[in-house]
Amino acid sequence: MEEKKNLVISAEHLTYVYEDAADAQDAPPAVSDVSFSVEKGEYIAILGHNGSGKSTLAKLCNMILTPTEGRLFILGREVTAEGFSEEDTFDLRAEIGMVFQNPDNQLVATVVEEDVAFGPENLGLPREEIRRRVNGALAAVGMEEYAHHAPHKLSGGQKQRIAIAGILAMKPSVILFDESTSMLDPLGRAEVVSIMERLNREDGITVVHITHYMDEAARASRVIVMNDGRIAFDGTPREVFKNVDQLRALGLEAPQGVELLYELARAGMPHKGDPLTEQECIDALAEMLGGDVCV
Amino acid sequence: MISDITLGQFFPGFSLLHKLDPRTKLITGILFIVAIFLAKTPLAFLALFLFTVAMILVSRISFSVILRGIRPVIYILIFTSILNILMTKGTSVPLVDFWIIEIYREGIVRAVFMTMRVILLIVGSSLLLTYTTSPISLTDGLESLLSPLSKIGIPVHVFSMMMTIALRFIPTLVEETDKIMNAQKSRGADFTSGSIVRRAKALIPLLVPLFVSAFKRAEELAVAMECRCYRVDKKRTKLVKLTFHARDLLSFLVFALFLAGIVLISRMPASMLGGGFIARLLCYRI
Amino acid sequence: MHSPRCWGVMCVYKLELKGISYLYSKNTPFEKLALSEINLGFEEGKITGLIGHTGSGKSTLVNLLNGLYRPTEGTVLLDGKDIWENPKQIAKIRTQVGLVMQYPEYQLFDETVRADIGFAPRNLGLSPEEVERRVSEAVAFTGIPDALLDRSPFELSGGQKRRVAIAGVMAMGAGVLVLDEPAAGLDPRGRREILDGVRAYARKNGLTVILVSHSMEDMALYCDNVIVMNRGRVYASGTVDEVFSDADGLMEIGLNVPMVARIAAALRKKGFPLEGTLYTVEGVKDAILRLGKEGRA
Repeated sequence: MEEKKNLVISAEHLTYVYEDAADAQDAPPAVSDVSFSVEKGEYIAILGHNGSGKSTLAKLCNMILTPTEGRLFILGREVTAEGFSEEDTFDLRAEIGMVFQNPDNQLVATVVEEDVAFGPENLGLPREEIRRRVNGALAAVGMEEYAHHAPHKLSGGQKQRIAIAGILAMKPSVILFDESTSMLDPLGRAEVVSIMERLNREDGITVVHITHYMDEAARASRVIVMNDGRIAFDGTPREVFKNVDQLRALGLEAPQGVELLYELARAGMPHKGDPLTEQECIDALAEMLGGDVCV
Repeated sequence: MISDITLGQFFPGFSLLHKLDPRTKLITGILFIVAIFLAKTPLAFLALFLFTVAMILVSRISFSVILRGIRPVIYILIFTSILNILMTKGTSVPLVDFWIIEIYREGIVRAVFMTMRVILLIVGSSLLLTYTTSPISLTDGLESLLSPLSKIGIPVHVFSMMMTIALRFIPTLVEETDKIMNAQKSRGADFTSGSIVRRAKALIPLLVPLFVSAFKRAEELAVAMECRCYRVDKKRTKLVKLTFHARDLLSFLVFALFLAGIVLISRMPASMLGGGFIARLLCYRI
Repeated sequence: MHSPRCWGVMCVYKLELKGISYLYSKNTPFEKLALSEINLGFEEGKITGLIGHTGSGKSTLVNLLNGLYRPTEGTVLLDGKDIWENPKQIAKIRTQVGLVMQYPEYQLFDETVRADIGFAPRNLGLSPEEVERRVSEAVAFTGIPDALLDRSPFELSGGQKRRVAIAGVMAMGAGVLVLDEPAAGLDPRGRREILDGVRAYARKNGLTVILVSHSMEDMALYCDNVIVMNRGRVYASGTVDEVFSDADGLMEIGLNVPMVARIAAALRKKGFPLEGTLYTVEGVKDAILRLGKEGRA
């Protein structure tokens, strides 16, 4: 138990089987025998094609689903323990926020600030505290000027920022983003990702970002790749994305710069190290080409 | 496009009417409606009319908006007026007696007053409630006014949460209906021609997806709410607290006095105005 | 708009927009000009990409193409004929310009996948055999397993629903197919499979396809021509090569230029004379390899 104190999430042989009678025989477990842990302050991206179990994993971590087998610890408390009650779930949920895919289906109120207040209201906080938190959360996502707007008139990216504010107002230590960028346009995606990064960097909030955009995953400090309910890769983006071949076999791609360097290496132009970011790729290519020109 | 239809249109603003507590508006709204029904003479109606104009001016909502609000009921008004005029049998000599049509003065009077009542009712209630009060604060006001009922076990809070969510999702669902309709039209669906049975059948491709989506939204929303620690049985606090101000007290007074005034005016004999023709006309009791 | 295959008045456009402007909520306080002075042509048998960020007017444009919206000004010509010539016939136009809307899964309603895909051809009054033929063809190109055909569409996964919805429009057999973000929200493999299927189907039947997407990668891989929309106007149009060679301009109007295109642009700035198709991984790879060889030689 002691060593789990610093872990935000810790899963041991976690398995979840969907209890859908119709498909019970042929459906593989959505998550099977998964063990991993998340340290405080980490910024993790979970990748995987549709149906790889990544969303199920998130729902388990947020206690929406109860594991079929295995043990799960959240903030050092065992969720799968015998005596873990509904009351305990309620307490923990304020600590572990979740932003969903469809921005429309998570906003409750008809006025932005009242929606942000929804969580703190549920926690039964005093009015002044709610007001402080709402203002703080709206400022954190840059939506103060929209406090009195109706959510349905906002863009997808803005709605998602309101949803994030609603979670922030509960002061969580972890936020799970369950494909929260997948329904957004490039602009909205960029906004949400930059907020995610800022929350992680400046406020020390642990971020778990489930996505199938490789460029988003490449910016995390750690990438977990799911396939058929199991963890296929777990490491820094640099370690994970250099496995271009294996990723392709899993229906995924590496960021384009990495793919380009990989293709060049196959065609007989190798590079040094494991460049990952755009700038690193440019530098590596410049060095390769520059070297050639000089010879 | 369906989304052009305005539903319970709220016009944000900062007028006195906007700033009033929703509970004040609900109660004064009731007082106003009572006044409309207690008004019995043209003079009383004149007072109601002037008072309504004053409210419109205070609310700073344009007259064209008000007129647009009346437009949808115009046909109903014309229809009921004609019915009133034709069906009311008076005691005096009919004004028109032609074939089976008999029109009495009482019929015309009744039609005119009835039309005025409905128009005042619509203008007054939409001014006080829908135009100047956001649906959410209206819900808050209702919840607060009805909260004594929760003591006898009626879950007022749950109803108000349902109202809030309904209000939140109406625009979303309207938009969605539009989208689904367009998608099915793009697949050659025809919603506008054929017999009634055909048309009813043609609605299936619209209604099934709409319901499926509404249920999916409900499910996702329920999970999202739970993730934000919502529980029906748990005591919640509120960000916005309704508070009465001096202006609310003032409004109560104004409306109460106005109601009393209408009652008095309606009983005022023509002699008090000099007893002339105009006086008798103004004080003619319906 | 110019096109390399347009000689004077003898244009071979399948679908053409002339002097189009569109106002939302005309004559209300919410009036908003969504499109202005649009002149565009879509070449028969080609895949034309339509790109632009949200609010650029591309969604409005899509709704004009099959007569869901009526232009405030200007005409939409299908095979040279004004589609609004007889407004009562607009339903017929909609069957000639198939439209797959964004997130089309929500249009599914029928009891089985087969019946749902057959909805459009049934509406056209085709014989059961022809309906069945069209359903099978659409199913084959969208990669829906036969085993799913008699299942309820609501039991399917998100990606499968998307395929069924696209097949449902394909089966209408329209000569023009407009797809608004057909691969939005899918994983890379799903994207490829769906877009590959659409392209194969279009090539086989000689369809004119208009593909709306935020992804320039997809445009580069699947389109012949590209139209870039910005603030309700056409910013650029032409072949993919012509339009995408202006990476800087596209970045300026806020488009997400593919990472390889940005890398290529950066390398050129550093003085490496890369030439060729500089917006796909393949193209940039070839350009670098050529340059590398020249360097050695």
